[in-house]
Amino acid sequence: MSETDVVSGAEARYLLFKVGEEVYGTPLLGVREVVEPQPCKKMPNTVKHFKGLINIRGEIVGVIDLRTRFNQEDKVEGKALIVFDTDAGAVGALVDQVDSVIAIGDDVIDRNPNVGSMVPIEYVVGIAKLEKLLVSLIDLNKTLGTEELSQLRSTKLSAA
Amino acid sequence: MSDSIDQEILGLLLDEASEAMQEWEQSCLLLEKDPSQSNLDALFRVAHNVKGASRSVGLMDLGSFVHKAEDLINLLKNDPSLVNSERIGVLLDSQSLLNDWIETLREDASYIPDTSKLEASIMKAIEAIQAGGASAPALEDEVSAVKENVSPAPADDQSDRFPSVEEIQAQLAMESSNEKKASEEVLQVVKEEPKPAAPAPKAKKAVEKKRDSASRPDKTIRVSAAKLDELMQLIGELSIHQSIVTHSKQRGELETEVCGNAIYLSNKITKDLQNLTLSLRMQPVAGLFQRLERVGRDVAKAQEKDINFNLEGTEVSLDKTVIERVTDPLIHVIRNAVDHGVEDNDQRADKGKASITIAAHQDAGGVVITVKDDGKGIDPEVIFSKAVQKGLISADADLTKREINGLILLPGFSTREVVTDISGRGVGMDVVKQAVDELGGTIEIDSELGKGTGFRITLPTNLSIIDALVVKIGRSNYAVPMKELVEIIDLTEHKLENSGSEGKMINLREVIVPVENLVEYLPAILEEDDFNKVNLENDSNAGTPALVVQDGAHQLAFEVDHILGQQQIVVRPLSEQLASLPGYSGGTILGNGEPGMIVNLSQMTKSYLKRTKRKGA
Repeated sequence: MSETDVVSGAEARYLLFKVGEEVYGTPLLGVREVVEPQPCKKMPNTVKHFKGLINIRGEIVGVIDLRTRFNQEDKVEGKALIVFDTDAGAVGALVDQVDSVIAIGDDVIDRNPNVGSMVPIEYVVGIAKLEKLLVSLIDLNKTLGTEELSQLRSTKLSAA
Repeated sequence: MSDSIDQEILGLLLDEASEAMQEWEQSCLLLEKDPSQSNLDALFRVAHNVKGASRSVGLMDLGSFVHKAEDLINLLKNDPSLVNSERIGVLLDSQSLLNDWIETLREDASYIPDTSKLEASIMKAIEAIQAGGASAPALEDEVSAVKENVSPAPADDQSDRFPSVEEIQAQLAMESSNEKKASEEVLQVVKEEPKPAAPAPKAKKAVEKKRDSASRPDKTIRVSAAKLDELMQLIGELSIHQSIVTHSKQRGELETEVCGNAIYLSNKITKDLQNLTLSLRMQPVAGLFQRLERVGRDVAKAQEKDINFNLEGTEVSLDKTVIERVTDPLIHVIRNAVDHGVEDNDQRADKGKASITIAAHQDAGGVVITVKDDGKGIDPEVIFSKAVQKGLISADADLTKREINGLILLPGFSTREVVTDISGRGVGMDVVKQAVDELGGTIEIDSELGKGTGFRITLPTNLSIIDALVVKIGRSNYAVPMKELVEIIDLTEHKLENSGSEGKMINLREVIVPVENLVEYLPAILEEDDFNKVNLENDSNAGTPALVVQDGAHQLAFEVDHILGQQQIVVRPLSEQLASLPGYSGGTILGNGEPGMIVNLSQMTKSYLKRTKRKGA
């Protein structure tokens, strides 16, 4: 059950963040915390947007670089790390900037947006029309936890 | 009434009932050896408590079934000489059914199994006793029979008649207190309800409600109050030392003696806390052994073998998870001992009654569980020729006796010509070995022809702290569990064998061992990493370390860049996503605070063997 289902019909709170120049929103209920990015421990045999592992108070958390995932260049280091509580456990997402928390009414959300975007379509749950800008609402909670991280290149392990 | 409280009470009750079922089983097993009054009293008390408790939360069907069994127990209690193995059998069968029932209730609160067959055998037993001139049947019997026959009418209007939370809590409180009188009074109230037909629909209504709420009762374990007190004490001490350190830091006095002491003591307390917390998960093997005895007894009865079961060392403790995961393999070992190990009664006329000993003792390497029978033993020649016939070994293989016994553990090995119902359903002893391997344990078989067979299973006492070797591949550090390693060698000290297309091989004490480079399985990350600028020291004097592992008869050496040291690591759970990455068995935080993955060398060995086998075929 995704958080967006729970709150449909009412106002729900979203965490706004920036990847590149674009602003995205994600349901606040699925966010565990926002922390300073820390050095990631890289892992072999994984996809490019998987940055590696970090230690958050003794818990091992995998970090996904949303900029790489959303096909943005990541010339600068990410400024913030959002930790999500997904069904499969904690997942960290590296973004450029965390903006604010706002409430968005269901009436301004277009659930079936027909737009081309840099963001993989399975992430997008709707587009919110706010006063000044359009915000893509993405449900990272559902998608991050189920992303395939393993990418066996030409290693000997692939025979297993 | 809130559903969560409902759930909580049901959960508490089911926990209590599960425990009661263990007592029930134990009493029956004791009764079989010694039909004494005290054992009968214990059994009666258990049945009575379960009946009362289940009725108090509206599990009327459960209650009335227990009630029938209780009638039988009551008759036996009045005259212990009536106890015989057939009647105990009925009571044990009831216990099995009730146990399943209780466990299923955790998943599905409205579950009601088909009890008619067992009820019939209970009634038969009761009638047989009564025909023999025992006391008159209890009136309640008819009442409950009436209850059974009344079909539960759709009774939404009855919902308000369901007892309130307070009532249930009061009843539960009394049940759990040892004042038998009080609980009997409560029971009396339940029994004296005017319409016997009413409880059934009530129960139905109640369980429907329970099923609606999504959450299931939480699993609980019993912890001694003294340990909790100790935990509180340690946490209190720790926070005092912590505040000393915090204050010292604020005042810039980190280097003072007071602060140093506080840091030292915090370390000590943290270690104590770790040990204590681990010990909370430890449980005595008594429950496991009782279950094994029961399985053994049932199989022995089915095969009409007379076997004495001896339990030793039941107070030895093991981690809860280890116990859970070793239960099924051990059941298989017991079945095997009864089925294959012990001869039929007529074949062992001169040896007397057979016995199987299940024992546990603490050892330096963990807990050792032995299952020993005094049956016919394993004939090494039969095993050997069988293994040759099955193509598991070559006919000229030179094996020690213990190695030959170990062949039983290979996949595809089953010695009995005729497949029996008990063991040999295609599930071989290899399953046992696999399960023990997964837990990081070992299994050995000792056997002497004509004297018996002993299985010796060594298990780690807990799974969450392990000894590991920290190795470096490229610029990443990995942990390798020590128990996976046979030895650590320096490749430069061993003769390289020329092996052509097969890859690198070394001569390790006259055994040719293939060498694989671990970096080919876990490729070094070559991209520039701004955070971890580690200088790759190229120390040519250090030699080339390699880790030797064993998979069955095969040995394999994994070359690594550096060995950084040995340390105890705490195994941390991984998110599903990370756990699905191949090549690792878990994660940990290394000494420098960095996350590190625990390398699964046995998976890599299997992958290697699979690849070479395919090439050879």
